Amino acid sequence: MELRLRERRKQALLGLLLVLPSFLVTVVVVVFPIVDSVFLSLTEGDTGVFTWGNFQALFADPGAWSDIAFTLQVVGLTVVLSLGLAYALSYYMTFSTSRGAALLSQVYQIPLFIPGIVAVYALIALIRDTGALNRFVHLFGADFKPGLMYTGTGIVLVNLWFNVPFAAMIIGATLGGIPRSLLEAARDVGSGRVTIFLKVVFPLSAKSSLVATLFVFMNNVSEFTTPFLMGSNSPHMLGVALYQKFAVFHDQNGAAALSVFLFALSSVAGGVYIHSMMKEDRWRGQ
Amino acid sequence: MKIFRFILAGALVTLAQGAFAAPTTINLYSSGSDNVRITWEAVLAGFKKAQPDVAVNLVFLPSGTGGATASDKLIAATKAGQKDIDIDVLETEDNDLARILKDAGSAVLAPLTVKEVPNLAKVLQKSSVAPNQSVPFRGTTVLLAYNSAKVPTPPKTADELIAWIKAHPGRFAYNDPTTGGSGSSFVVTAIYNALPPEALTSLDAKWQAQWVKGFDLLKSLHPYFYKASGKVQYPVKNQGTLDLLAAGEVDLIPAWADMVLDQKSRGLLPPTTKVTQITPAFTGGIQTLAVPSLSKNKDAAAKLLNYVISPEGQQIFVESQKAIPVVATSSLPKSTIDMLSGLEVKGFRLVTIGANGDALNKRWQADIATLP
Repeated sequence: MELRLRERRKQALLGLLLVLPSFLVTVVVVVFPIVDSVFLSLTEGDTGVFTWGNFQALFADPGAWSDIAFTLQVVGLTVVLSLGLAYALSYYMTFSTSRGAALLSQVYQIPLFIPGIVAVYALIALIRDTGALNRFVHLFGADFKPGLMYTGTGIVLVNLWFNVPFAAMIIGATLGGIPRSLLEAARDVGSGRVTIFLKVVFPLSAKSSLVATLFVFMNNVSEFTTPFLMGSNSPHMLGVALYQKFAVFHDQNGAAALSVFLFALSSVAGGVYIHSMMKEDRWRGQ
Repeated sequence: MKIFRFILAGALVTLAQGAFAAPTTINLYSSGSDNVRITWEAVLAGFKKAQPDVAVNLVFLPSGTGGATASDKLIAATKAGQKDIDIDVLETEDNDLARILKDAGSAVLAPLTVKEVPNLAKVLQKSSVAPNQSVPFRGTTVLLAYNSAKVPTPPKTADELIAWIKAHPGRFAYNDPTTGGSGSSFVVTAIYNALPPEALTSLDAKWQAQWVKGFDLLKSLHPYFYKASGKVQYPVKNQGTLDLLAAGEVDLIPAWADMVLDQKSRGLLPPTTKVTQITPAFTGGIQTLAVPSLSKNKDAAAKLLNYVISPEGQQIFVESQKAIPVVATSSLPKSTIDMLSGLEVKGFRLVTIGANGDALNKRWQADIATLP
């Protein structure tokens, strides 16, 4: 008994030792900058004295409010549309036996392997008012202007390119893991397609849908490349507003306040994610 | 055996180094777009031939890779009381010089006069911030680039330009000034044309009170600028407006001279693209080189500076970067000067407004970017 206890303690120590390097890296590249930003956001630029002024200035600026509203609108639409499309896509790929579904499941991840900036420029070249689409329609004598550049809709559209495959990957993994015997059992007792979906498939995949939602939210709330190249001059998405604050206006403390706010937004999503993970662990532990 | 050979080789190398005096190595800090790096490499190759006893190590920080620029490093080293620094020459412009001298004191840069750098006698430009502690080595300016097929007679004055913009809605664009210098020059020019000339080289915040007139002008012109998706849009970055010109979506833009001439020579802009300057001119800038007082290799650094502003050095800047030379054009070959397509070299309008520039950008973002 005594021996086994010591053995277990040794193993626990080894485990801690093994996670130590990644823990230290996290402290240096994640925790330290966060603490530093919080500190900067609560001090005055020239004097270094404690102040709430940076946050007061941030929230007193009507431009900042319209940036926040615009960001939440774009991210909200991106989340809803990506999740809807990704769910439909992975449902089709998992449960259809058609050749189309087989082909789609081979290629749907391709967007994830194309570097972001390349994809953004390619999509811009396609959808801008004088882009490839416009010129193609010109062949048939019409003048089609998509009107998507410098609009929130355009940004959402490009976001879908990245986020639909990403969310489909997460949801698809869960759908693929649902035992077929469950579906067959439900069918045997006379359930229709809709009932099977509502009573079996959806409850079993709800959790991974939630995870996908949170990740899509966190990935997009602070995005920079797409809104910088495709967004309008005002309002800005928060990533662009943040960049402008520190790199153009040289307002370090104001930028720190905005980044702390952005971090708070993301950590709400992070908190929900951790909470849902802990719940699962408790369930497993029983 | 092997060890013996190794020692012998080592001894030979040591002997050889003793026989030919080892060259002094100096560090040159520069930053910017990639064309800046390419040009420096060409200039340094020329310098190596002219001065084999000085080796130059180019430390190039591409723009946008972080705030740790050479000026920040110099300021930090001085504030920390360091006794030496590995920067022997650093590339600056007037706003950098103003910041360095303000944050680190005026003794931080070594004196650079005709005594140290004889070729300075032939240089036509001078820094307005640190005239005796910096060497101007190339100039660049913003001017009007236009599609000559659509605009046979481009505007010659600021007033004619305003009239042209109003007469041709949607055919003019300047880029978001917070993302690139050519749009910024358009904004600064529009605002400072209404102010006394000395305001353009003043760091004093009092001038902000007089910006109203210029901002009103920008507001009144707003509806006539380039539109996309149904509303006026200021493109992002210097390249944004050049792309619109290349695609034929606009006919007239403010642009950096070197970017237009370089992209035209490479076929990225159509051959109908031409450039012209208006009066009063768009603002431009001169790039300067400075030597920190802490540098241990000031003599070697002065040799590099002297080469950079010699006719040979200047020729490389003009040919590789389409930069405006700081020496008389008569001292350069005619074929080289022809590459500048008749760019007016004397009509340089320097701008050094320091932190006023940040305030100007903020106000543009708040007042102009938000217009419907």
